[in-house]
Amino acid sequence: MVSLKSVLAYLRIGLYQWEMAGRERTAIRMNELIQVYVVEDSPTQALGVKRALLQLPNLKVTLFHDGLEAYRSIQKHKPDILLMDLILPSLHGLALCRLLKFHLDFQQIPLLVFSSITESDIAEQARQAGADEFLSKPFDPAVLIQRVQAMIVRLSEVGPVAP
Amino acid sequence: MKAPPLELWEELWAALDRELARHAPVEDLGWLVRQGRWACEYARRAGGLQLFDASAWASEMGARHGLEIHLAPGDERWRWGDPVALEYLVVALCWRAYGCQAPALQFAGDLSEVCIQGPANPDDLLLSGPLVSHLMGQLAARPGDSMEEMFRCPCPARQTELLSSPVDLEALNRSCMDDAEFERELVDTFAAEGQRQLAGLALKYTSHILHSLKGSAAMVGALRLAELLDEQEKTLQKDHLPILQAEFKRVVDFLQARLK
Repeated sequence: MVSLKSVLAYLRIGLYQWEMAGRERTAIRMNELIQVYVVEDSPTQALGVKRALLQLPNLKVTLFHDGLEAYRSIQKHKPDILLMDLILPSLHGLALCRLLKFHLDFQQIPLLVFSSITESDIAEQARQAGADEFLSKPFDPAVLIQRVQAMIVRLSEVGPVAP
Repeated sequence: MKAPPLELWEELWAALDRELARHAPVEDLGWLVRQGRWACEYARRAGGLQLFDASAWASEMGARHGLEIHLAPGDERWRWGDPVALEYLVVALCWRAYGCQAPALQFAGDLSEVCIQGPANPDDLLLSGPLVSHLMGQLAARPGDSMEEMFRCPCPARQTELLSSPVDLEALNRSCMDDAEFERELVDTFAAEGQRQLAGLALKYTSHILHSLKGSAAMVGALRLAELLDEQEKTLQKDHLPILQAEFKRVVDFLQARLK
């Protein structure tokens, strides 16, 4: 008969192993290049976003100017974080959000949406479509950096997106 | 005519808002009120200076309603805070509120009076009506306001810079994170993108292009241009393209001169 003591010991070991695995995962994550895809059709704004992101270490930023082009690339290679505008050629940003959140393989990708749409409920619309974060344009680059940093921290807590 | 300080402008907008809600629910007038509030708010944030370009605003407003506005030579650059801006406003309001046909507008030599020349009445008429009386009553109730007071800027050091600037430099510096090299790259990109998009608008006037350019304009601190584009994104009036082109040129000229 298994004693209560041994059950508790097993549980403790299990908990310890789980914690260690988490720490290891975090450590690996923090030293890896974090793949960030940015979907923004305006070259000026894409440049601004990229410049801001390059303030952060270990980030690889890839730009896309078209929603559909971005979606196809995501299917081939998942990014760790996705930043996107809403009004995009070929595929609207909200549609892209919904597509990603619908698909089991992509729904874990953290999404930050930015837009200069002035509708009062646009942030809510973006959130309902699956965005984790929303920023109104024009935004302070420092705020963008802060939000992405927070996403990276969350990412390191939950572990990488499975390849 | 008395010259109102900024606070009075704000009161004026509030009064207009109330008046319009009661007597003349014309949706476009709400736009005017918002425009004025925005200008006041901006003026306050910028240290009290009125940046609003009344002539551009009046031309826009006029064009929206088929209203022709003629300015005497040398009077093209009236700015927000000028008595003429109020006159523009009054004329536009009255024209809409009283259902007049599109009149041609002219200003008296000393700019103290606005005359309208309506198709129904070829004679010049001084503008009148309850709303004008209301506004004039407000102004008259403020004894001692002078022209100097009206143009007073609490931060005179910035006055020249801001008056000549179509760009909010604080916003630009924020976007560039105070990096001069990046600013050059951003300005070059914006200039090229804007030219391409304006050319695109000449071919096809779409809200997508207007929206995209609006975001870029805001990023480089061209707030007035961004506002014009925002308005166009909603109303899509292709005959406004020259206004956008002119403002874009003003912005790019300013930015490029700053880089030299």
